Amino acid sequence: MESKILYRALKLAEEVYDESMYGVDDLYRIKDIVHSVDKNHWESKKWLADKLFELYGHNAGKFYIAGGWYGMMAYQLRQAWPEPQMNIISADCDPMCEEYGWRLFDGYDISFKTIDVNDEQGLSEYSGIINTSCEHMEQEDLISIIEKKPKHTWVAFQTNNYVDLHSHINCWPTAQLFAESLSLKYTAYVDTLQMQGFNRFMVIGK
Amino acid sequence: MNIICVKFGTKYSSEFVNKLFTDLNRCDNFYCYTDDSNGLDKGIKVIPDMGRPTLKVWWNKLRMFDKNFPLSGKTLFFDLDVKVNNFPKYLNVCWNKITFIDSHWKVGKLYNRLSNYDVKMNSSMITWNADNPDIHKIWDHFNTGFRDYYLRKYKGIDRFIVHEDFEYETFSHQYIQSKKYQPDIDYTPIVTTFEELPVGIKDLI
Repeated sequence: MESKILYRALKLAEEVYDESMYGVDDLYRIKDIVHSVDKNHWESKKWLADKLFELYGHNAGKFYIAGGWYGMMAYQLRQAWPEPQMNIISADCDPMCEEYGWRLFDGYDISFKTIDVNDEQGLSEYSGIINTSCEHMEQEDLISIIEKKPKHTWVAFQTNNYVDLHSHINCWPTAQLFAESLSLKYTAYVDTLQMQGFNRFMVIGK
Repeated sequence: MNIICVKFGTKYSSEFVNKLFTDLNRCDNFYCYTDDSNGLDKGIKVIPDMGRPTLKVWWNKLRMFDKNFPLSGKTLFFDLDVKVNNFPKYLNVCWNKITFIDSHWKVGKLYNRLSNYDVKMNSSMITWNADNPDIHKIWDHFNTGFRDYYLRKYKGIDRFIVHEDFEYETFSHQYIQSKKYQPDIDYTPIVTTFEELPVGIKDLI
């Protein structure tokens, strides 16, 4: 893990605490930010970036990350595609993700925006759509992304089988079943990453 | 007055709904908002799952505050783990405000820690006017870009309502008994709540 990112997360946690004393009282953000740079997230997002890099085959394009949270997925993609020819946009409907994303990953040429993926006017400009928060999203929204995207745009989606959290509304028992649920025209990669106590599933295709 | 309960998931069977319905004298305006109406007594009016956003277990209680929820006027909600002892003809509540149980039995430093978000009210019994636009703001506020964050931050709707600063009233203490914290009382409450206790249908008889 990169110590600079972890240091920034610590400084953000300090700021959230300071803010809680006199302004917005939201101490849970500290836990959420720390969780976002957890080893599990670091590894599962690096897994996606590495596999997509193998399959994508270009050094240029435009990636859209749906449910990008504070930006760890965008950061891992930037590590795989360090050149500026690859545009990376991290989107999330929670406006605080944009605010903290800019701070955590300043200098990594990542754009953050606040928008619900369902409100995106078009996905035609993107060469890849990435979503590692599928367990938090309605299945019909995932299908909608696939239906709206251009034929040659890559998708790389992750979900998991961790059903015990109330925010996990779209878990799947196996990677294969998750892949079948997406009905991609071309499926390039389906696999499982074993985490501590649950499995993370990934599907990459078009 | 409408009386309603919410049954989602498999924690409580239809037996619990039917028991509540019977204890309330099989009243005409008894509703159950549910994802599975199998086994419910025929006198119960079913409000089927209203769909998106998909919510798990008790978070579905918030849907009752949606302006599109198909109820109008004075409404009384019960959790399925309450025992109705003595339902009065008149409830002394302010219908223009939302009213919850005052968990006055929660004492001690643990409940006041800033970081645990615990609250001294609970939603095992709620009254409100379903036509009140101020109540609809609860559902609207939940369904902003922060919804997923709220689901991570708060363990349930009680904490969401208190810490997102919605105003509420509380019932007279004489209306409620907490089986866990007030095992022995010298009054007859409207309901006994089994909150924080494992409960089977036999406990409610």
